[in-house]
Amino acid sequence: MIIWNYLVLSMFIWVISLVGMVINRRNLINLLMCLELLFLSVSMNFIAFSRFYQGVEGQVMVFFILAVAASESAIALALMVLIYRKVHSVDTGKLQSMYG
Amino acid sequence: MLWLFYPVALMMLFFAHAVILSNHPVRSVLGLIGCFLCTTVLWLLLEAEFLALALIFVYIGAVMTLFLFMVMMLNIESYQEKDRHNALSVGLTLVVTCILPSGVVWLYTNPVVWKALDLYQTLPSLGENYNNVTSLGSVLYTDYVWAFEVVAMILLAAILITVGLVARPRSGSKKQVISDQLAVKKSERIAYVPSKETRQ
Repeated sequence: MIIWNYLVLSMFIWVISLVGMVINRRNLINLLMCLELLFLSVSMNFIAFSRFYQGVEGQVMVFFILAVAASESAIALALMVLIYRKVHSVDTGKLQSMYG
Repeated sequence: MLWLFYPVALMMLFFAHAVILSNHPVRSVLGLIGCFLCTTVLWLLLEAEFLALALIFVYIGAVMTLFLFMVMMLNIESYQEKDRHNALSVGLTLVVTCILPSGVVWLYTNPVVWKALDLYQTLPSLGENYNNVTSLGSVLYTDYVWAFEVVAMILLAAILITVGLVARPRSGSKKQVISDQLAVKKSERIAYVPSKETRQ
């Protein structure tokens, strides 16, 4: 088992989630899902390097990333409920109330 | 068991494409759940058991359920015709997501680069007595205890903010609003009712 495999896989996932953010920019929920995928690829890098250097600090970092990402997605989903109550859609194109 | 990396990694790439390319949000959420399951297997291969299980319990069990619940509660139908991914956009996406990282991989397989990085050595064994939970906990509760407490506060704040954002005030509640009480005018409270004597 070599670390290179994990680095390549996490790079692929990272690029996929970035491309997903571009092609799904109309839908807030899909944007949030691509963000979760981004966090996942970063966490995989951390775990792979923590195994590589035989230190546990990388896993501590991933623990914090998981906690912060969970609270972030909870708040983002709450905001999405508010947006849906206001404009009856999660389409980013309909969020135009700040246009001058 | 290490050969397990390759099929699981391929499955993970498939699920990741399903997340970004499906035309229905529920399928995207299911693809994301598949991604997390594959990641769990990969992290178990790296002997990070605690985080792999935390990923299942916290992410698949709580966060992804929340996503699925949200998609169904908001009743988001499949996308409008103009927003659907057609064959052209799917093909372009596949090309970009495969070509771009492959270019970087090709760059780094240059012997000069990877000998400098030393990323091709096999991972050292962790030993017979290695216990992931013990080693993680012994660091987490000593060196990083303040960061741990801060994360606890962040989670608490997330709970309070989420409830505060979506909670609606109860109708018919008898809450005291002092500014409203002080703003009352005499005409709103006192009405002139003629007595029997004055009527006659």
